[in-house]
Amino acid sequence: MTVSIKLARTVKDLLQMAQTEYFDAGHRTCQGCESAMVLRWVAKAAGPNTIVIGATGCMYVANTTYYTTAWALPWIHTQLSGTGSAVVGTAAALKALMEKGKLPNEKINVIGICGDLGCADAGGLSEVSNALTHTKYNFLILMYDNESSANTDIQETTMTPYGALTTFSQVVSR
Amino acid sequence: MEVVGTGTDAVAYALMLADIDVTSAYPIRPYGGVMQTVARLIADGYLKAEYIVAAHEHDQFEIVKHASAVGARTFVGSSGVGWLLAIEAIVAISTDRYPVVALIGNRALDDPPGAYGVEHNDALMVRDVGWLLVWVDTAQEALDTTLIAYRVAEDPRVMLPVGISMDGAFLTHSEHVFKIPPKSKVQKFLPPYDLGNRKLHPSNVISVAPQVNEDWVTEIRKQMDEAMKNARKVIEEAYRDFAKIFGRDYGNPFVEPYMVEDADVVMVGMGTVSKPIKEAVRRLRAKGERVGFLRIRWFRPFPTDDIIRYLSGVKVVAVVDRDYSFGSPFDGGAVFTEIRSALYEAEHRPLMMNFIGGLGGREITYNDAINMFNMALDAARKGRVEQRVIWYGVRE
Amino acid sequence: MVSKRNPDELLKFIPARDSPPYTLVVVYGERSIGDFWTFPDDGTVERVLGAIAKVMPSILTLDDVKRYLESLDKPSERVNRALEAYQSLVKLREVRPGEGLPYKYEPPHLPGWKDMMIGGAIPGLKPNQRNPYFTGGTAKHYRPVINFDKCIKCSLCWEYCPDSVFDVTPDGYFNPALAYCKGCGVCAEVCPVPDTIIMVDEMEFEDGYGKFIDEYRAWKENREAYRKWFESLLPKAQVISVRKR
Ligand code: SF4
Ligand code: SF4
Repeated sequence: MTVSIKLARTVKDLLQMAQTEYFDAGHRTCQGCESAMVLRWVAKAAGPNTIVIGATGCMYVANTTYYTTAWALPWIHTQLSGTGSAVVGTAAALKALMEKGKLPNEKINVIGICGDLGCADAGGLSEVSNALTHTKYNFLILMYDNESSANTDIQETTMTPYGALTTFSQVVSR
Repeated sequence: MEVVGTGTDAVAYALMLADIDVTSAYPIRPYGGVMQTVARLIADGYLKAEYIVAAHEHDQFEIVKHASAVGARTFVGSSGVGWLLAIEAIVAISTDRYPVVALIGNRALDDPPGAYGVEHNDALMVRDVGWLLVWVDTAQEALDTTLIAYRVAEDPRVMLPVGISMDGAFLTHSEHVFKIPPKSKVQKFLPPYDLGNRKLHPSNVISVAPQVNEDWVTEIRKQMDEAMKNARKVIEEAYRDFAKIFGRDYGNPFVEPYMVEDADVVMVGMGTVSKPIKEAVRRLRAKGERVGFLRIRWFRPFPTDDIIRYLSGVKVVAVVDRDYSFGSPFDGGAVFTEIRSALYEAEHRPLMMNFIGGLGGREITYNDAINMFNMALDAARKGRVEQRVIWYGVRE
Repeated sequence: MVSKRNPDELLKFIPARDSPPYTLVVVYGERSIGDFWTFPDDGTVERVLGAIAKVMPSILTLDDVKRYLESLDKPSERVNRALEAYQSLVKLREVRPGEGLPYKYEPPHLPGWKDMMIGGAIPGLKPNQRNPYFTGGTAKHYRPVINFDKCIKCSLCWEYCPDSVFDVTPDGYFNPALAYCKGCGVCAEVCPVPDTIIMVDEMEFEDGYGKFIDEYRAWKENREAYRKWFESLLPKAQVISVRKR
């Protein structure tokens, strides 16, 4: 099966395309999770010719639960700090395989999604930084910064603002 | 075509023949030579592949994991603590079942750093997590084993990564004469990499490695257990086909027996330690001593049947470990412990000795091998082992 | 259970069990909920400990509870909460086998290792296919009820819903698939027309457990009845946005 990219020509077309969900209901995000809403729109904007990479974080834990998934796009997990590496590996492989005729030549979006712990901490920053030096590959890295390691109990990350209360904050308890 | 080159050169030529698509590099001795040769092969137009310089080893291994996921044949490698820095990605490669092939230029672990020489503990760190592990002995074997590794790893019955271990300095940096086979033969031997329904592509919408709970992990690990067991058969098939297509027959794929028939004392080892030991076997045989040598090629899956076949009935088995396993059942090396365990089921259990030596690249010479054999022969004559584990050559 | 309702009312929402009989203990109070997580600091833990001391002193006596709570921060506040529950806030109800909501939980069939894809891979969804194995709709405490008569079809509710709950109807309305709605109230918050999406306590409805009503269909079938129903719910609606009232 090959996927054809449909270009919107009219506003109606656009609305029709916008109505297609690629990140759909049935995930475990908390009520009213704005990151889930953002992902839903990222997926719509990217369209079907997309590979999504999710680093460890709540947007990975909550959106896929083994044997079920909320993704109608090819999706793969990468290690906590692996977003930069994963997008480079994926984009490089697509480039190599297309140039060598092992895959049909088409535009495939590569999107890596990580939280602040994944991309701003945990060695992730260095892998993102390295990824940015590989300018011949096309990819998008999306960091949703909720200023904490929310999924693992709201611990501090380097993005936590000064004075914010996290479960790693050394506050006096009495 | 016959050429002169190092062990890592030989692997690089094999990568050219296997037509890898993506590789990722990060410098560390002694594995690094392979990436220098690959870079030259790409620059000279012999190989078309994406060559990605990584931020560090974790980056490096994560890159190839994801390249492998979309259907690229990949190569990666490291040494010593570099390999261990990547361990998170290394484990994810095997649990995600991507047939990545890696070269481990065996190197002593830090600290203290700077011992570029061989020690097998780096590769052995992953012996329990679903990596196939093989030790090579010559540049030719390195080239051939790399091709075999891709064939075994990518077999749908296996789909596990392979780590090719090569003794640092002794093989990575020593020059050998070896033959480069024609590409046409390689194409006959090695089918294209096909992930089947696991290929990550918009035409095949799957989710890989979602968050998992206790309802599933046992089943996922059991699949890996089965794949590792299947690997024994697949390795045998691969060596058989290799002999047919390339005309080079390695005999038993898992171990290399050297004059073990009717031997009273058999030394066991992995990697280049074979050279001095084989020489010692020849000289001692000439003097009428019944000694032999068994070189283990595949450590994972472990060749239990072959170990029993060749070692049951021998009087003394002396294992040379270029590694350590502190606090293990007999405070010996990892290979010793595994062989001892394998022989538990044997009809005739031999006496067992363990030499821990050659650490950090210290050479095990012909004279050392003779010494070790003499100690083992002595035990054979007496019918008992006085000291089970000997730190060979340690300064008191 | 922590609730302001009495045990009989609650039992309408608790699936019936075959056996053995059990005691439903209701601790009076506002339910403790941050949706999926319990807030550790709203006194629920203390009240439940007090209730246990009252109902099953063989497990925990009031002295045990006091001793424990006094070792924590804000001890007097905590002890008071426990005492409150111990002294007056606990209601008991014996529940016989078969009493309760007639709902049978069917555990899902888990495939064996030979039937699973290797490498932790699973089939993905098709576009517009909601995850059939995980709905999450039973987790909600408030339900959006929509007054289609007032809806101006602006699509904001559909745009903002993080759970892709709204189906677009052929005539341009937005119909919530309640099985997937977690009851966050975002849609009610963004709806520009006052009292068009209202959030109503889920315990006002008895259609949960996977057979939620189809609001749009109900409205289409009988607008008058739907309007009456909506108006009956209006006084019970949660005030979502101060801005709008
Ligand atoms: S309450 Fe929340 S989850 Fe439910 S329909 Fe509204 S926005 Fe979606
Ligand atoms: S936000 Fe309100 S007015 Fe707009 S479409 Fe939804 S229900 Fe109708």
